Amino acid sequence: MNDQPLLNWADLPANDGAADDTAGLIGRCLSGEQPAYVELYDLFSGGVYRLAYSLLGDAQDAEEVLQDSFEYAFRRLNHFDARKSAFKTWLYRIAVSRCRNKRRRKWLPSFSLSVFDGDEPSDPAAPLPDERAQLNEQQRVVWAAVGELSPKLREVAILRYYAGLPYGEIGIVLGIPAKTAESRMRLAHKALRERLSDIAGEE
Amino acid sequence: MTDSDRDHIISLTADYALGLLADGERRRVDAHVRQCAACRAALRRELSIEPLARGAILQAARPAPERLAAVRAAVIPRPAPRALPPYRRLAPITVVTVLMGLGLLLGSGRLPFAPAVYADNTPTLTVTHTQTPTATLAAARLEPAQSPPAPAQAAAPAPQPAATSAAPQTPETTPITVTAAP
Ligand SMILES: [Zn+2]
Repeated sequence: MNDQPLLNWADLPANDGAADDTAGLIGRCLSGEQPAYVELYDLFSGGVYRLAYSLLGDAQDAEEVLQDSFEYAFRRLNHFDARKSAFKTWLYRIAVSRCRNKRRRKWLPSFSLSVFDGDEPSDPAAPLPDERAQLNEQQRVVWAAVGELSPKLREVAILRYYAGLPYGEIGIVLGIPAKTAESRMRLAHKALRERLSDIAGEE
Repeated sequence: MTDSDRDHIISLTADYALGLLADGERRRVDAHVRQCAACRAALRRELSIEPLARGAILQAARPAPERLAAVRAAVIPRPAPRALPPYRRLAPITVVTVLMGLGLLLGSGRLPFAPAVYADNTPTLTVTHTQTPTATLAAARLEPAQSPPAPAQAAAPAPQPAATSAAPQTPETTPITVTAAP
């Protein structure tokens, strides 16, 4: 994976307008304003949690990644360089790295998010975990299909479908060239389209 | 339109949905699907994947607000204690250092009011473990050296006799025994 040249920072798309607000917020953090840290956390914590949960499939793991990522990011905030990437990209890179470590430590090279097909409670009256109870039938099918993607494809799919990152930024988050991110995305998309053939394209 | 044209357009629909087409190719697909129902349906299928996936992720991976708040409380850096000027922040270290230095000087008998017998007889300190780890200086029992006191002893304020006599002999404060050997 690392034998290919990494994307040049210069190839990055220009940051959008939201980056200016984030830059101001980071500046306030660095000058010691505690409310700015709160604001920064509130702005990005939901995204980091969703990313971690989507990659790991476990609420406690996702929460640990969330905490670990923000502790690290706040400690190293003066190392963030807005000229190199958007703050979200930098933060997601930190989070993905921790998700990978957690997955390795748990020896889960290809664990599945499909909590809905493998371990249904035998007692139909048993309460479902929150996240399962909230999903409609279609969402269950789609969520299970996302969970069946390999970890590499799932990373790209989450960053594209959920986070909406351009491929250059996906490459930075994952430490791969943008072209590799694109080809993985094609594979992830194809796999999902095949698994979701019954519901894809329905009005 | 030929069959190969249609195939070619269909092969572009996934890249179209993924935002991977150049402007020219994109316009070609746009023009084609306006007149070809099959390719239009294929493109619609490709375009439906992203909102389906995003919807499921948003719903399934939704964080509980109270958990986000709990983590927030753990990660927000505490404000730096900037109220204290540098000399105030150093005060505890200074006090400890001075006390340690004073203790060392007292022990070595180099203070003007220290018992002169220490200085003259190169004392060896024998510290016996006590039952009360916080034994005070008053609990120290001094065993004078065999040799007669040096003349300098008279000049010293000589707290030594007081220390010796004041040493409590209660069992719960077994004293530190300081033996000054010749
Ligand atoms: Zn066609």
